[in-house]
Amino acid sequence: MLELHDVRVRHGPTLAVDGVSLDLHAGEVLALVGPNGAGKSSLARAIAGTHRPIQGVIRLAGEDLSRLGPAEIAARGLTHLPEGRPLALTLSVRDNLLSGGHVLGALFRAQERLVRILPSFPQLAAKLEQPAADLSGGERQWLVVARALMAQPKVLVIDEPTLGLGPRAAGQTLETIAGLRKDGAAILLIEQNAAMALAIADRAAVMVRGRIVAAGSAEALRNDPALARGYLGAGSER
Amino acid sequence: MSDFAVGLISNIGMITFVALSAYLLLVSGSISFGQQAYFGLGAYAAGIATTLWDWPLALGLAFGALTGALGGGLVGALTRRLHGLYFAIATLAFAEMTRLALDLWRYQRPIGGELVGPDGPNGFAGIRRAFTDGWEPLSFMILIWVLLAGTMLVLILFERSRSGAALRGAGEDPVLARALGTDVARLRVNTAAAAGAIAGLGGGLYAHLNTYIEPRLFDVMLGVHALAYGIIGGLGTAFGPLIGVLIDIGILESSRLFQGWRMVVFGGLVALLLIWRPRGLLDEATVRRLRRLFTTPARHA
Amino acid sequence: MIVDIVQTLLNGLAAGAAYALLGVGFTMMFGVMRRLNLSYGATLMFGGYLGALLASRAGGALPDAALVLLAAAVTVAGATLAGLYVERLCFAPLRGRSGVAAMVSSFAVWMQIEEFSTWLLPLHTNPYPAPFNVASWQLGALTLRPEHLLTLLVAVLVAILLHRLLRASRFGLAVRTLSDSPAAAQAVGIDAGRTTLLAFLAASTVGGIGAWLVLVADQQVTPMFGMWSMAKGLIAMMLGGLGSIPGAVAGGLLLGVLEASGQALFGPQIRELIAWGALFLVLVLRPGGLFGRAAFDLDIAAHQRL
Repeated sequence: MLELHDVRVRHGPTLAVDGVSLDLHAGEVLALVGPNGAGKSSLARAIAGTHRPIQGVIRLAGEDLSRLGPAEIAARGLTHLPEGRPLALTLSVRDNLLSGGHVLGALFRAQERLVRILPSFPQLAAKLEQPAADLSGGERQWLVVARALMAQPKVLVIDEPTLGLGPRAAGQTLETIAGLRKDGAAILLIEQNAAMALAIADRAAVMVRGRIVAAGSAEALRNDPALARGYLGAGSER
Repeated sequence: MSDFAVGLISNIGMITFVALSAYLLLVSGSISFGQQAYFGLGAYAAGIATTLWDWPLALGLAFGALTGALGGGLVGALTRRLHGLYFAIATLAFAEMTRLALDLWRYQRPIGGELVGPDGPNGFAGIRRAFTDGWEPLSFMILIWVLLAGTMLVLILFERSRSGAALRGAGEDPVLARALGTDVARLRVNTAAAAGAIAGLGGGLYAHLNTYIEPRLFDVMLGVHALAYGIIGGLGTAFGPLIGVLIDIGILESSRLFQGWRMVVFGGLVALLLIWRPRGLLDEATVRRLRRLFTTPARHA
Repeated sequence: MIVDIVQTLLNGLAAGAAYALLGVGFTMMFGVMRRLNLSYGATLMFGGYLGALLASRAGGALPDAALVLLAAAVTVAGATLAGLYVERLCFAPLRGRSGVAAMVSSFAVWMQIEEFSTWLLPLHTNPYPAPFNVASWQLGALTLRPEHLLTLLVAVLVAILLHRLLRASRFGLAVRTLSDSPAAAQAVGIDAGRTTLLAFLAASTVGGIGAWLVLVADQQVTPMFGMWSMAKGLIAMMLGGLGSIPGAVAGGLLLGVLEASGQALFGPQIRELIAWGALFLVLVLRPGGLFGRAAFDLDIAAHQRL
């Protein structure tokens, strides 16, 4: 569904992503783990089109994305959930959700979609008319996930969804994300908390200093003692 | 030197005071649309002091600067909680209030058989102290530029000092500056007072050169021009505002090259310039490069 | 006595309805860009000058009603066209970069548009076509001026349409999302450049309608109109709370009533002083505006997050 080939991204003076190649299939969760500053978020921004790579090819369902802007990429079914849970805080929960359906076209399509996905998010359904500013951290993260689902995405790129959440809310968030697989979406999950990410992922890749240093099934990486000591340990210390 | 040239050079000097005043606030991170108020207050105060109270010129100019400082400091203190656009619009509101209040204000006394003093919208005529004291247009022009050079020297020395660095730091990132121990609120009030003093000094000079002032002269146009000059010239150095004034008044107005179309040409040029250089001609990076250019050979010698 | 108060209130609300539209246009621009468009008044003046130009050239050849309608269309279209020019030259190239530079750039273009307009019509006072021959109607002790009723009617109509557009359309939701949080807009695939441009044009149109209402009441346009309309729009916007459209409506109405009562109590010279004085007081005492603190609080929050 999403193919990356030899992608390089410059971030200021440094090469944040140094030749990454990845394949992401429909209906799977690929966890991208690694220490802080490894270039994971730069890679996510490159995929979403908000930061142009200096080299390499990114394809979504076979189409080259390199000439498209972020809005056009989103319209083709790729949704990026950036770090920091950006929400329109003065707008109601309902309006935030509806804004997620922007790529669907006319507003009534977003309204239809909202009716369909709302039952999966009972916590949000109860607070539909409240401003998003009133939500707790965990609720905001669900809102961000639900908003992303509004777009019926083929690919979800999720950056640090558990950052700043307590362990309980973090676990619930990751479970929700794992549940999205069954709709056929391909999910690239970026996490510093490697242990939690590997627990729900199908496959995983470890990124260090701009490069993929290990990749394989999540289970294999979970049980790799060298990785657990070398990289994953460093990542979960935070 | 021709009268035209003397008048022009004097004008450039006086407008540069207002531009420097706006620049100082800009460097500290505050946009002001209202520096014309302190220019106007300085002009009225200095004019009243020398004409109605018979003070000597030097004291009158100092009084003008002091009035500007008090006005600037007062507004600075009242608005110290405001940042960005809120501050900019508060300064604009104060400046318009000042202008409209001057329109209503009458304070006249008979001197030499005629009524002299501020007369509402009819202005304030007969501020002749400088010329009865024997100043010629040429010597007054030199006075303006000596005072301007002095002000700029102080500003440049200040910018190189630790407080100057703190000011620029507070402008770029107030939260970080606060974390580093800078009292940002106090710094901003002091800066507003200093900026008011600079504008007030320029206003006093303006009143004595023109001998006539009226509230209309101190409208928004002057204030926004003053702000624009700093940004056109560049935010990297106190020479920036001077360069901005030179480009507008020195080249475009004086040459009469685009008579009738000056603003169309100037406006378009400024818009294009700012796309190319959003922080003006002499921005911080350019100033650093220039400084290196001038200091490196000295190190080798 | 009571009649005087009602009369003043009515005059104030009618003037305030036009101010409200000027303020709403300004607020929409500010909302999507987070930038102050200093050439706002000049673009409205340009529209007004086009209307006056039409009257001066084609005045005799057209029936009065046609002239009035055509002048209205030309004024609103002129303001929108000038808005397009400003957005493309001053704001689009600097989007995401220096806000001060964009503001100064729009000031430079203000000068440009103003000079161009006065080149079109060099006289200081230019007659503007007005639709009414009757000066006023008497309703008991109250005096009703037809242009006041027109202003109130049009302003209410525009407010309803704008409310529908912003609350019940995909474009409106995109504008509101972008105004609240550019990051959220980007995350859901809203094209910020395109949305900003369209919102800017819509705002110019709303401002143009407000300008038309003022010009119809004044029956003339002068070179001061640019500065004047920007001042009214700015005060209406800030009184109501920066960034809130209902706030701008309330701010405009309040400004109209304040000015009218100030004039009734202290005379016309105090009128403007009261407007600026009220703005200064509100900024110092309650910077989020009288009717909402949302934008200011968000601004503060954004600063504290740093």
